Amino acid sequence: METFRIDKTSNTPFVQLDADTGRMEIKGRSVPENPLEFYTPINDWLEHFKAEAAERVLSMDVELEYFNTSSSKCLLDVFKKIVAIQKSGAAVEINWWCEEFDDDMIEAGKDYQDLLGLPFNIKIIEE
Amino acid sequence: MPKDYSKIYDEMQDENFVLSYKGQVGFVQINSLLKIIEDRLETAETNPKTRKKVYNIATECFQNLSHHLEKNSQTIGVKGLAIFEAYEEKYIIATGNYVFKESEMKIREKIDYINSLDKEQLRDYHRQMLANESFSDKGTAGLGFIDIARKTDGNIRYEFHHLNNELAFFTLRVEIIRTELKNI
Repeated sequence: METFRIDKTSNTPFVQLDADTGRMEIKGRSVPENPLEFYTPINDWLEHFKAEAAERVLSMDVELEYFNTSSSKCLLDVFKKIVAIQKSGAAVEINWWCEEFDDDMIEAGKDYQDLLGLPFNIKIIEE
Repeated sequence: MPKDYSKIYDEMQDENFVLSYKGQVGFVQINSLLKIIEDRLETAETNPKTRKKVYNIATECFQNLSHHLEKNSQTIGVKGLAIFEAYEEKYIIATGNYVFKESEMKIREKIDYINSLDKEQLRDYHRQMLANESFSDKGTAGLGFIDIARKTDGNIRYEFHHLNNELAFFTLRVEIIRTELKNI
């Protein structure tokens, strides 16, 4: 599997999915014109990863400055895939990075955690 | 006789009106409007929490406007109104667009329901909609008003000015209090 990478734009986050290390990063702002189009390749990559997930580790760092409601739906699909990968035998972790003052973002992480029954490590970005 | 632009200048003199825009509200236009707001907040708002919150709410409000124009109608569906006001104690974000009677009923129902919920109920409703609703044919997640309500602690106000039996001008208005945020 190849490493998947999308560069950051003013409306879309930096994304890097490394199959060798099992490290996933999503960083920046997610306000795409077409969220489904943006997130579909990420979900496709995760689907491939799932096929070889047994006894692997998948560590995901999400550091979103902001995401709109359409993206929130797509992110839920991404996290559902992570749950599926976990069920396929991988050890998964999600680190949900927030600025200390950003209650809305902290709350959003907790909402996903409750919806999915998957622990989200809420982490505060050091200044 | 040529138009007297000084009158327009004077009308726009109210410095609290940071942004007042009427026109097409597609992806490109909205990005430009949000950039203006972001730049203004960068220089005028010292509290990073307020800065981020206001920008996020403006994004959701303007995208909401863009998604909910009556796109099937050539006469009323193309343009919208986007307003951003900054005061010492608060910010106001407002949007306006023409809607048909049928849409009015749906919007009223939705916002009235959201406004009737307390914080915890709103959180539950949000999670329920996030988990269960699929994308609409407008490409939206049906979460816009809920998200705005959560971020503004239920401070969504709206009005419909009726033009006739079929048509109304819908205004959405949210206030974000600066002092309250500073105390948190």
